[in-house]
Amino acid sequence: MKGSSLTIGIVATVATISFIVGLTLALTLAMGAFTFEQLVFSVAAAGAIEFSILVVALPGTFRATVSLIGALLSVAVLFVLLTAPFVAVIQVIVYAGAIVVLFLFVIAYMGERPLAAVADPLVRWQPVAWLVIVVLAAQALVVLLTTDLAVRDELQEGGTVATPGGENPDFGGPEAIGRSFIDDYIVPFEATSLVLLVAAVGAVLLAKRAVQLERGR
Amino acid sequence: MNPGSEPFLVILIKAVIVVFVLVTAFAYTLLWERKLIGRAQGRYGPNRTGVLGYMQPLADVVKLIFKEDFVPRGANRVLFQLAPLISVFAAVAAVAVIPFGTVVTVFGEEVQLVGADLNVGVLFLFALSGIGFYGLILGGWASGNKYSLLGSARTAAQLVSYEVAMGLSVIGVVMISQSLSLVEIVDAQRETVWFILYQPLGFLIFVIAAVAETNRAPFDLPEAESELVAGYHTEYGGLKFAMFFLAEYVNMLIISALAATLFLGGFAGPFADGVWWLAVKIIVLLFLFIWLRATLPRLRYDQLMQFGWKVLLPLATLNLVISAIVIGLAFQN
Repeated sequence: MKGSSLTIGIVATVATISFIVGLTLALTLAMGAFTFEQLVFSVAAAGAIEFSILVVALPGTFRATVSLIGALLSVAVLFVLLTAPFVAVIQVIVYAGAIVVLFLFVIAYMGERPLAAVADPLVRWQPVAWLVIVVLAAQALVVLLTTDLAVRDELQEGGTVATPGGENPDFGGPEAIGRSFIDDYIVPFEATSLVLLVAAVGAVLLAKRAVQLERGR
Repeated sequence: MNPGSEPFLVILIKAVIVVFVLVTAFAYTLLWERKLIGRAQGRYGPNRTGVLGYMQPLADVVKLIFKEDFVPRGANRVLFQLAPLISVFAAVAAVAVIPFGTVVTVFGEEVQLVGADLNVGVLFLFALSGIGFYGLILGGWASGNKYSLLGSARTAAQLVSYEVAMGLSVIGVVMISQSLSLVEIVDAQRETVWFILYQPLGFLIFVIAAVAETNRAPFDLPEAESELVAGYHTEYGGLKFAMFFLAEYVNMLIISALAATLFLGGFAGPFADGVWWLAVKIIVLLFLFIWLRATLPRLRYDQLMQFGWKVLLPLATLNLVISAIVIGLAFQN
């Protein structure tokens, strides 16, 4: 177990460094000049990819969760580069600062108990999982191709952005995001909160059933 | 002001000065605490090294540097070394958004007396405090020691329980000043009054949660020496232990500075605004921290959890709802 974790670590490190170098070189060639921002982007992107792989590849639960912190922080850096400091900070507070702490708390208290290998009832849903992956990838591709990243460059040069509510100099800031929550996108926002509520109630019910099955243990 | 609008050299000099002051302040906060606790317990405290014991921090640092750099056998090497660094990084980085004054002109260069005026300054501090806790949690886990592990599990539980109340207590201030930038929050207080007058309950909740967030007595369960040896830093010695210590005291300084900035007007004061007002307010709050430690016994674990969830959180929510209604009505008129 220790050996495999070490191998994964070495492979991941080598892959990450080559990814950083490659991506920085490619960006330098594409943009015609090297900037510090390209390096930061390469490191953050590589971090996000590497830590995400480690989350599923590392054998120990605790180590995997620590990798999850790395992945979340890398994504936060990417948000900062996209001139969305508010989203970046919230990402760190909510995900890295609260949710993963809860994970670690549970793991630290329960210990890293190896689960008994039972027949996974989800195996027969695997084709569906692949289908979802393909759909999500297609969606990501569409988003990537249609997103206007020029907006970001304009902002960095001190410009403003035209949003549904008119010209907005505070794009990505707390006020703009607050407004889009309660004005432009209130229905999706409330719908999301409803979904989360249903999920929370469902989790409590499922846990209750599990406790009853174990006769209160 | 734009973060990139100052020359790199100015930013560098500011950073060096601030970190130097911060580390010196850490050393003397520690000495001051030992002297005060000594007095409170009917003894003298350190008074031999240098004049009245004022060289004691220097002697301590020299001692800690020359100690053996030790990693226990069952420890996870990488995380064990990384954990104190995470703590110190988060603690020291937090000072970047605390404003010390307005714009001053030094050698013909306009310098704003704040590291960076972020438009999400308050949240930035919360994010860093969340990252800083990972130093404690990972350090405790990586030590490979039961006591350390229990200490870090307690840290995690305490963080989650008290950070919510702390966040809610700050929202009142944010609603009044209409900004998350600490510079603008101070400016709003210079134009009106200190926000402690509008938010007395918010201030009280913030200070209590702050004591819990910095793991200070009576909330120092993660390092309760009577049950857990030293909690998360049981296996740490020498410089790595010193780094955890530095992080704890810098966190104390930062959270005092944050309380002063959010509720007590920051560097604003009667007669003349200036960094000395901030220093006075921080010293008063630090004295409060030390006084609490000398006075109150440690809470029991269930008391800690009950207090956090059943008293502090409902109070913070109530404060938030009332503030929101009052501020909403005030804006309508």
